[in-house]
Amino acid sequence: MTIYPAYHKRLKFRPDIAMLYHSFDDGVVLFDPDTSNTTLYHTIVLWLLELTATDEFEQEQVLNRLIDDYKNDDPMELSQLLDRTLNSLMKLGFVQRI
Amino acid sequence: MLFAGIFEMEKSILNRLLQTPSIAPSFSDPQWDLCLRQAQAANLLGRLHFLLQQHDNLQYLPQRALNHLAAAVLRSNKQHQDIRAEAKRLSSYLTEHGLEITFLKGAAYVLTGIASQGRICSDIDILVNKSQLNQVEQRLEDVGWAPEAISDYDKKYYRQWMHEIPPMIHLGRQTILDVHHNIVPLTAEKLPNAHQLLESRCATDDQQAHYVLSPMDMILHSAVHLFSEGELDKGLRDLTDLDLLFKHYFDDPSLDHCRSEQLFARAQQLNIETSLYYALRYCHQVLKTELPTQCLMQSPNNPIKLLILDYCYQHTLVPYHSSCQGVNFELSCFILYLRSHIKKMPLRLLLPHLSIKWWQRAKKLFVVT
Amino acid sequence: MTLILSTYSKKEFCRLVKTTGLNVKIGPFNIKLTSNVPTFLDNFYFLYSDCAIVGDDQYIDFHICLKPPSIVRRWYRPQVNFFINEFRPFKPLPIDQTMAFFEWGLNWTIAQQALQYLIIHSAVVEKEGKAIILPGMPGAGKSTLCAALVHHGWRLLSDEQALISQDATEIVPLARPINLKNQSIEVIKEFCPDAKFGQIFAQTSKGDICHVKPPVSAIEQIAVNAQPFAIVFPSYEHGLDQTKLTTMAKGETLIELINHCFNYTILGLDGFKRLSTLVENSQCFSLSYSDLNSAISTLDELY
Repeated sequence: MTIYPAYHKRLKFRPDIAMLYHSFDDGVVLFDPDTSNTTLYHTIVLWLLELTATDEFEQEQVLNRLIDDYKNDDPMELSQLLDRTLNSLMKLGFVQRI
Repeated sequence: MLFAGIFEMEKSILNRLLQTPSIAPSFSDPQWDLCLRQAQAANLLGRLHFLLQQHDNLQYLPQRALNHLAAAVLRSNKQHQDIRAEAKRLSSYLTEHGLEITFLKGAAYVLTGIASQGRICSDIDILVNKSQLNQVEQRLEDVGWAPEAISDYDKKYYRQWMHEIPPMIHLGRQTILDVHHNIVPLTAEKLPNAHQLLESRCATDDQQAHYVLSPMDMILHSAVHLFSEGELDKGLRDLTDLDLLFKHYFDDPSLDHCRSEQLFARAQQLNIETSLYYALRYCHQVLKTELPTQCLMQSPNNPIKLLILDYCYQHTLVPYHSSCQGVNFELSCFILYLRSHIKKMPLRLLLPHLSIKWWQRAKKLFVVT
Repeated sequence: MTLILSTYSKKEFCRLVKTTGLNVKIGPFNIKLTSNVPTFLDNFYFLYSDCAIVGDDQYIDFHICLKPPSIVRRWYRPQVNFFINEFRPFKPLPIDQTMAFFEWGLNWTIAQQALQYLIIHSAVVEKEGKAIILPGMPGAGKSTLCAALVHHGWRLLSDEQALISQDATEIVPLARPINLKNQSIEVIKEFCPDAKFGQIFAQTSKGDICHVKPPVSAIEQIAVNAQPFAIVFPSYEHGLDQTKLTTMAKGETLIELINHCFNYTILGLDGFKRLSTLVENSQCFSLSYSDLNSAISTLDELY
């Protein structure tokens, strides 16, 4: 299913960022060593880090995996969650477009 | 040699350590306390950590001193991080508009990694072509830089007589930017040709492609800044910069001879041989910098002037801390202050200028806050 | 036997501070104090009388000097300057506020220079070896709550700055005078009859200010660090029916704490790791209260 904007094609976590996080019950905190920017994300980011931290990924593939793993959740809501999360990660430079 | 004896009595403990690192094991806790306070007053705390580390002397310091040094290194690293980010913004933005900038002094050291260790850099200095000066100013103002609030007289002083425009400050980030169009004031007797400096500029190693002066020109700029402009409270710090710049430049003994010749030739080309001479002389005298022998043999013509300057610099290339000050210090500062102003501008301009500056300072004393 | 400040007579203390300076241990720091301001010396002698004296053979962390500007302002509308190692970070203040100036100046110095600690702008109190950190913006009431707690069985670690150790497993005591403002002064005078108050400084830029002397037990245990146990964001709300202690999610707590952390940015990754460890190992709450007794017993129940 294609519920994503076309420009989120190929993405990659910044290699230094992928290791700089701490996970709590209510979410994952990512740290940017260049700016000390520290942001709390939905726990989905932990799932994303485990899935894609060292590799490039395509939003569509990741979405399909997400829907597969979280079978009981609404695919539309999952898609929107992923979209919001990726937008935020890109805005702060944690994820780069390739 | 007689004079050397007089100089020995008043040396700061920091100067003694910088000259002779092997005395470190003999320092007591109170001596380290004084040494670090002098270093802090001289903006050398971060650099001191690097120099102690180089000579494997950190083991002799009490834990409290190590904490203070580590804190200084952290502050210095944070500043460097901010400078790199600011330089990236400046270079890419101005290049987009076809304007070329060359980083000078502290910012250049940070961007190249030469003489950057523990360096405190409060401002960013850039050199631009005089013909592009107005455009650079305008473009900077477009993105949030504004001239610092200074008096009308000071504004006129900068624009008419100096080699830089009044400092600019970024309104959001509070970074201060000094935009130069030469490396000495316009009223100085012999003006270096700024075009020659810009022609020889080099790109930094990484892909950021910032521009800095060539290694030779960095040495010469630092030398002329210290020995002509007279900001003596940073004198010792600037001297340690020169020490590291010389070490980097003369890193291959087999090339000493030709590199020395090139350096002297360049100094002559830019009309700043005297400053280079003093840089070499006082790095060797005060910091015992290892230099090729041919560098130490050149001498200007006036031995009396040299004697006076030796006296003055021995007493002012020290931390500006009460523990290093006395009659000799006050007298030396006064002589050098006059000398630097005379070099910057002829007497007919200097006397009115000094009167106005003294009046401005006197007014401040009586302001009720 | 350790020499403490009150071992010297006030006269001798004043003489030393005016001439050679006197070395005092404040928290983990050795501080050399030099000053010639009589009212300040009176206040300092009272508030810091239990602190240990440090010998001249020791390394001194901060050389602090408070003295009037040399020329006109010694006599006409007298002022005082604060110097740290001969550097003057602030504009002068009226001379009658010197004690308050010393406290603010020392806060600034510690925050700016003691980078071996992660520093959180908060009160910290301890019981049974376990510490509660009470972060708060000015006006949230953390100093008032802190003053109340330390006169009801808790040990004072700090009313202003929590010093978190390198591995985030310890909090290092400062045990400095507690800074109270405006109405809090009367509240604590009533609530803590044992509390010892310094002079009231009226109409500073922050209102009326007064300092409460640290209980002597806090100074006696200055070398005893505490283990992080809980982080509680206090909020005084006038006329509230019931004291409410609400659990806070840890991720949210960490983000909120960054706003209270002076040197987080400069510590970089190390700051992030320390703060994460601290939050991981602490229970996190927000506390709304209007009654001090009820707030204290709510916090007691955490143990």
